[in-house]
Amino acid sequence: MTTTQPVTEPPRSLGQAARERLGTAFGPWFLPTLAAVIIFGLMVALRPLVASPTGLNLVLAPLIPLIFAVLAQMFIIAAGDIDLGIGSFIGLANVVIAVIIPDSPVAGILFLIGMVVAYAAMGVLIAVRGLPSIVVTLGMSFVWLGVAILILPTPGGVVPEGIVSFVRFNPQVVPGVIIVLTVVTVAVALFLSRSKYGAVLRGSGSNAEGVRRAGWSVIRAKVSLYVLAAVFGLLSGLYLSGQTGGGDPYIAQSYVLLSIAGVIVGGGSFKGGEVSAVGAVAGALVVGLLGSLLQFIGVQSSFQAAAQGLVLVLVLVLRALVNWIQKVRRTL
Amino acid sequence: MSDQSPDTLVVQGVSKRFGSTLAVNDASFTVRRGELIGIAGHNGAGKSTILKVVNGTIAGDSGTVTVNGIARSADTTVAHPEKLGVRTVYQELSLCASLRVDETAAIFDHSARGLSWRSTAWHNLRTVLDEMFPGHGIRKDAKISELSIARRQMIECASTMIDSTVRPALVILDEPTSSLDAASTASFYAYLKKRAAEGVSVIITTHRLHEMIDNLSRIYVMRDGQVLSEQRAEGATKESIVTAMGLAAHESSRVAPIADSSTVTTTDARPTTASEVIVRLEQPGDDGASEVFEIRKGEIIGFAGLEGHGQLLALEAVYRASARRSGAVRAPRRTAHHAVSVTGDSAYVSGDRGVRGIFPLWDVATNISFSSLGKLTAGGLVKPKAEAALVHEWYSRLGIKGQSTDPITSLSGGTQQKALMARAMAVGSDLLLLEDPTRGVDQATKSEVYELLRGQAAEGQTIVWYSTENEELRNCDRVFVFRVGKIVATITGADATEDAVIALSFGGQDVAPIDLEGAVR
Amino acid sequence: MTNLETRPETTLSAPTTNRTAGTVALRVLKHPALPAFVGMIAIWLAIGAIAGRGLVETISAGIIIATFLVIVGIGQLFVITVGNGGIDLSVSYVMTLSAFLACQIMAGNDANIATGIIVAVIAGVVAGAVSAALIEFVGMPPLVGTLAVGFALQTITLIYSGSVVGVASPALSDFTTAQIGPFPIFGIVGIVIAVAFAVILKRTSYGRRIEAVGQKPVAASFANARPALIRASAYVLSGGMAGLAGVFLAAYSGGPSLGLGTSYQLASIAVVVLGGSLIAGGRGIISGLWAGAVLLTLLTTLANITRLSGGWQFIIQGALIVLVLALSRNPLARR
Repeated sequence: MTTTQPVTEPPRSLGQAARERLGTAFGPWFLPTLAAVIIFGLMVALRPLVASPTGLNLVLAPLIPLIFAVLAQMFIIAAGDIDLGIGSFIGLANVVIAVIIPDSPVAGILFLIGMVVAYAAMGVLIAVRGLPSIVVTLGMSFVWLGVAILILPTPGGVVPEGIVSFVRFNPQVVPGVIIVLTVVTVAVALFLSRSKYGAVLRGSGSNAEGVRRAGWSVIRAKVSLYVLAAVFGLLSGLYLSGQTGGGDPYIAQSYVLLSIAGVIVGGGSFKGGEVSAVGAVAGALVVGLLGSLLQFIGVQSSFQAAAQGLVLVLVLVLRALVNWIQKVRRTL
Repeated sequence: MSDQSPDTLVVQGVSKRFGSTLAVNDASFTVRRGELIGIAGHNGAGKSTILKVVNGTIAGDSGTVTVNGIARSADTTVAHPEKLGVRTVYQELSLCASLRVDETAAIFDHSARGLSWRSTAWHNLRTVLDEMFPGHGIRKDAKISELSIARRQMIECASTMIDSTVRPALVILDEPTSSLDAASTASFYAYLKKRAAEGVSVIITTHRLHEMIDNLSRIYVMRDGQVLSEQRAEGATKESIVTAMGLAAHESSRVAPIADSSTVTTTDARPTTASEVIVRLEQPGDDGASEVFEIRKGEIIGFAGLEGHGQLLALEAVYRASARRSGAVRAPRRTAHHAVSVTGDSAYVSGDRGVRGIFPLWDVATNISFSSLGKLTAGGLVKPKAEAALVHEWYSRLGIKGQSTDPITSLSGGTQQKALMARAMAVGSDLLLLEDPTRGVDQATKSEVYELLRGQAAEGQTIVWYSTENEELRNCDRVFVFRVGKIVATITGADATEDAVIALSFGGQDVAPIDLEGAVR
Repeated sequence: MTNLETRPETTLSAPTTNRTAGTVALRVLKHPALPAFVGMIAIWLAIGAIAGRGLVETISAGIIIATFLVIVGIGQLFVITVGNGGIDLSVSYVMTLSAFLACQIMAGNDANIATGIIVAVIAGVVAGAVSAALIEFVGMPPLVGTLAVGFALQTITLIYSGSVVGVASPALSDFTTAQIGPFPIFGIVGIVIAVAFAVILKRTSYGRRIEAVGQKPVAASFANARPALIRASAYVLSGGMAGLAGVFLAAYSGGPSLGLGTSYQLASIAVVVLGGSLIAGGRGIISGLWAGAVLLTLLTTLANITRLSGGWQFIIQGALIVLVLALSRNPLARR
């Protein structure tokens, strides 16, 4: 509320400058990464074997499908939306891979492509009609689940050997999970923050009107993000299938909340556009490793969901607090 | 540009209607190659609408728009105006808060491609920035959300001038300098003049009239959707433009302007009644002692001044400080410039009907009775007969036409405004607060509104009235003139002529560029 | 104003509509709840035609089961109508927890009915208040706030349900299934509740504020309403209603179970949308919600009769909600 905005702004306090430097040097991914490392450190302290290549594989492999799910959710949150159907979608992918692909690979792959197209259509519907993504994706989650149940009413099916061995690929030199983790993180991070269209996508989530005025198609951006989400949902389903060896429509239901938690813990914001791939992967690791850590300590599995939910709430409350403090400081 | 016709833009007979409001009425104007022109007018005069028709964001109803010799019917939209060389900076900023500066530059700059897209875009933007705003201090890796509004505005302005795949031919700037300081504004206009010499044409709208006069070649003045006059910038004065904007038939009341003064000027305007104090505004004076302004029961007080100088903030503070029951008192409310205390309850009428006024899903009756439901209920339930009676009473008192069961959105702007007046007046509150209530309303309705307000005041209701139309202020008992957030003068309604108010608003000096209300709206 | 009383009532007729048969018919045809009622009747008749079951038995059974959905749905309707992206995803978890709480307190004893119901509703109200605090004061999006509360409740229920064996009071169970002649008592209770809340929404100043805040929170704040407070109240109401529905559902099905509320998370949103309320807020249609609830219930009946698998039922429910949203018109949309 000043009368003029001088071009040369007043000298910043040391803390402010330090914070700014920290912010640009490390980005929003720094804190979640630190948290993931600390949790991992705690796990190693409890069971030193975790640090061995085999241990690493054992601990991290079950988190790979979750990491893909978090990345899928990250694309949707980047669009300023929220996906409540990602769990059922991954479940459907899992069922298709365990039931249809063994019988007829071509039909199975066409089916999976159809699922991606359906996600694109959902993005168009949400963008063009201005519908709330929450309700649309919640409705669609029942469609995915219903289709999965039609294909496979009770858990069963057998995932083809090729997929299982691909997913469980583990060269002795470097643990397979580390390879997957690195490749995926680097690829997504490069696309999202180092490619021009990645910037357009992030921009469209935070100010769609502005991006549209600059001559970009906002609907195409939305569709791209939904397609990316679908592809990563399929990858999550693929890894889940390979790891479990069978199909279960309900297998990924818990991923809905966990994926949102992962993105938010990883520095993402519901405002849209504020996402970081490294942060999301770190957030997924925090949320996932936290579950494993609790298991190590011997906490009941029923508490784990609550603890993971609690982390989400805590992070949001803390951020709200920080925002509030900053606001108060500004007005003083 | 391949086409070398002397006119970059020719607008002919463009009209645009929103529902029942004629936002643009048969507007025509021309921008020659390499010319800087301004469009002046109050809020709602149709400036933004005509510019959006020009760049093809919205479709007009009739008329033609010719850009660079290529004519199109105004009722078509253009998907990619930037491909025609038309660039626009809107009042609401269009930068993405989540992006870095160089990424933002790349979004605007379609020529930045390949692996070095960020550095190319940043290089192109910085070339313009360095010249347009020397010492801008913007780093390429800063996030937009961390930048001040002024720096964001600099980036937007600069991005219109980069040589992308298509060079800029016509640049439309809607309030480009609202957050810039004097030095930046000066270098900005210097840059515009340089680019104009190279053949770029620029259209600017701004509330800072002196900027137009000092820097542009011609100024078109709009009012009620019409392009009313064209003035050459040398020859034009603030007063001549404001007079054209107001189009007041106020020659009869014209008096000599009050002597300019840079300090607080107060004519001997004292409260017109000796009744109880309803509103008390306190502000720090120049000498450190606080100045107190009192509004008494039954007075009509006008808040005047140039747009954005704190009138709206003060009015809202009065609303927020008022109690929920008649006669009650709440704790004083502090704003950046005032401490406000109010005795009694209040009702608020906004001229910004779409956002701060109507409930668009309801019919007129439900809209009118909403604020008065407390006295219409028995045992918690709204009494249908009492509600209908109230609605009917105000229908006839305000002369509202049509059925009370019609959807409010089917009414004309003026009638909607009457319904909102009815909603507020029906409360029967101690205080009636009006925020430019006659914006976009026809003259006949205005006269009715003035009549009505005098009636309310006679019945003992206190009225505080923020107006952007200075001629209205003659209906007030006293007028508080605001400048840079503070009350700088109080004058009687009779003294509140167009000229007097303008003179006091400027205070005999160039007012610091300001938009206090930017954060409110 | 002062001359309100002095004005004779005879002059009232002027601005109000003359209610001829034509205008009434037009109002019915344009009413947003119409599709829900038409759909409900169509499915009702279809069940009669396909299964050859008595129409009266079909609808009276349907109305009973729909009542649980009506009660939860009303809370959801208030949350959605109050706008700002309002949605309550915790209702299913509130229902389950309340069912366990109430059944433990009732313990099969009719003397404890009132206590059981009150505790269940209070549990829901507390959950709603926590959601409201997270959303309005911490500033979480409604989705996350209510989902977080929901998962907390789920965990509480998981831990707590292991240690209790609750039984609903027999009288309450009978109440949910009893009939007077062909009329199901509980179904009529559902209609009464729906009418009561329709009156609250349309004929009280509280209800008007709910719709006003849902349309234009800024305009409402300039017309003496407090948007944050009004919004918070909707979450509290939704929690209370979910708690109430939980007890009744437990009584109807003989006792609580962990999956008791699960299907109500989507269904409660579906009935709001089906009933013609605006998903963006500002307009709530409770008659439509009631018809939508009966429609959904009859749809399940139809699916059961035709031996449609559970998968299809999910698909139909999910697709229906997306379809209705895609086809619905937003009266506020400019373009």
